[in-house]
Amino acid sequence: MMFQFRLKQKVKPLIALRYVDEWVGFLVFLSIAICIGAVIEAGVLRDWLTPPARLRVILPSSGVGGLTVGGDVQFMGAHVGNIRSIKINPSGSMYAIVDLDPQTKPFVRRDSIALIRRQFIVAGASYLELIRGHGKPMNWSYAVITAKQAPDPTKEIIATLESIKAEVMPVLASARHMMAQLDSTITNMHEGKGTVGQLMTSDKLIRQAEQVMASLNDVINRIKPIEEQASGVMENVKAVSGDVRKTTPHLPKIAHNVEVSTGDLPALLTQAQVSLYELQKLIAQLRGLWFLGGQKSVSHNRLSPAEIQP
Amino acid sequence: MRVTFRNSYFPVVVVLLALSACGEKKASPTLYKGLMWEQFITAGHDSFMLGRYETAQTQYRKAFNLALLHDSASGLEEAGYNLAVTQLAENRPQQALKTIQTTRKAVLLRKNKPLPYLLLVEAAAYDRLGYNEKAEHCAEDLLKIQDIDIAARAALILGVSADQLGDEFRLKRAIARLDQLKKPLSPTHLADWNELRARLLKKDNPAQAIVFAEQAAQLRQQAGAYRDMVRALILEARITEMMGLHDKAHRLWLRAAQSACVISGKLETINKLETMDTATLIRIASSITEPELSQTQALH
Repeated sequence: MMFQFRLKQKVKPLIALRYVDEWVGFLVFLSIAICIGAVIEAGVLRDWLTPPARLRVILPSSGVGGLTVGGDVQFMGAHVGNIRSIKINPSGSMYAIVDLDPQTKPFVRRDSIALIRRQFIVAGASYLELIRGHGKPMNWSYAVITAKQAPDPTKEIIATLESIKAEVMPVLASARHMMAQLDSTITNMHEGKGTVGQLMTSDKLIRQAEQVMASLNDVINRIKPIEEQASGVMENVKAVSGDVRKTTPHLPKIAHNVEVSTGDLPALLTQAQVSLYELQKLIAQLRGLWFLGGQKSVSHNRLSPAEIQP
Repeated sequence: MRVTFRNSYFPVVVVLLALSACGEKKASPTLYKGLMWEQFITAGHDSFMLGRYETAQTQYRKAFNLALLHDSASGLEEAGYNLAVTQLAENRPQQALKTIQTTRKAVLLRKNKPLPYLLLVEAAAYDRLGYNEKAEHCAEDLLKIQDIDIAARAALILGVSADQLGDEFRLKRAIARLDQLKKPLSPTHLADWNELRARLLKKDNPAQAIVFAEQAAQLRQQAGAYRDMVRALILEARITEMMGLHDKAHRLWLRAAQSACVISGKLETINKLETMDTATLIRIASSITEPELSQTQALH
């Protein structure tokens, strides 16, 4: 139509532009090339070419813990994916399908778990934090891990406060009781009851103590001469020790002499024993000699039956 | 100066003759072995007579072991008998019974012969332990023995056991055995006879029984048989008590308790005896004729 229109115009244009169509075509192609370059540079294609890793996270039975579709998924503090959907099993349990950056695949293993946390510990949006695993590699055709609710710090704080309360309250009660006892004791002391009370209110004990101290002084004065005597005795003992020290070098020789002398004692005793027995027999024989007026005596080896006394 | 033969040389000749009679005899090894055994026995006898029963037991045990070495049945019997008598004198009838059993086995292993001496000690040990029926049985077998010392002592044990059992028949039989002994009786046998007569008459004629018991105690004292003396004093005290003479009975109990304390070595108790009541004195005096409770329980 345009060409036909131009052909039909027989008017000379004010400004004649040469190669306009070519320039326009060039600019169009340039724009398209810039657009393609920008797309490549932005990684859109890469994203299209590398699809995200799909991970199923079984949620705890207590609920989703505030997770929402599109919720953040973090790994070691970095954003690595989003919650694509939250679904309910026919058995009643819930699970979330998570799209993950494929770069996290080596770190998520079969023993990995997911923790449901809040952004500001007790407040903010919930997110899933993946914990790095060290077990066998995940089968990414059907990857499943379990999620747990991160420990609630408020509950821990409350439990700690409860335990502190349980410990502190009896102590306070004891302290209260102790203070009451102390109060009672001090009151009694002020009233002059007991030994301490008497000490506070009466000077009788103090006087007795003074008397005892006086007696002690007397005793100490009496002991002093004995102490002097003892020191004299100690000097004597020292002198004796000196003598003993001088004698000590002779001890081995004395011991040797004693050993030599006593070595023959057992044999000597045996001989003496036999000699005495022979002598005893001889005396018995002499007693029995007729010219000494004796009679023949019969020695019995048995004790007399008269010695058996019922 | 003239010296007569009678005055100067006669004593020298007599001494020379006496010495010549003591000719040297060469000692053989067997003689030395017998000498050792006799030496142990003699040392045991001396210790026994001095009241050192522990030492006596040591010596008799050595003699017993030596007799085992010599394989001598008579040596075993005599050493074992002496050991048992010593243990009985130390008021250890339980040990005495064990010694008798050991000795009997050892002797019968070597020679089969009657052992009246061991049976006599056994009878006395049973009597001391309170097994009067067994004591009667053992003693009754010994009444027929010809050895008058054994028979007389067996009669005494039989009579004492029979009296404790209330067995008047056997008591009379024991007295009858003593009556058969040749007169005059020795002081020991006379004391036995008096004691048994006192036991027989204590119910029917206590006045006469006291006289017999008193004589028995005196004879025991003269013979130096102090354990027997304590038993006679106890008997006299009991009869006196039965007659209602409590003061005299108390004095007798005190005498018996004092002797008993010395015999059993409880010297620290003697000074307290005079302040003790009669019941305590009876217990202390009687303890000498009864074994310690632990020994009786050990027999069971």
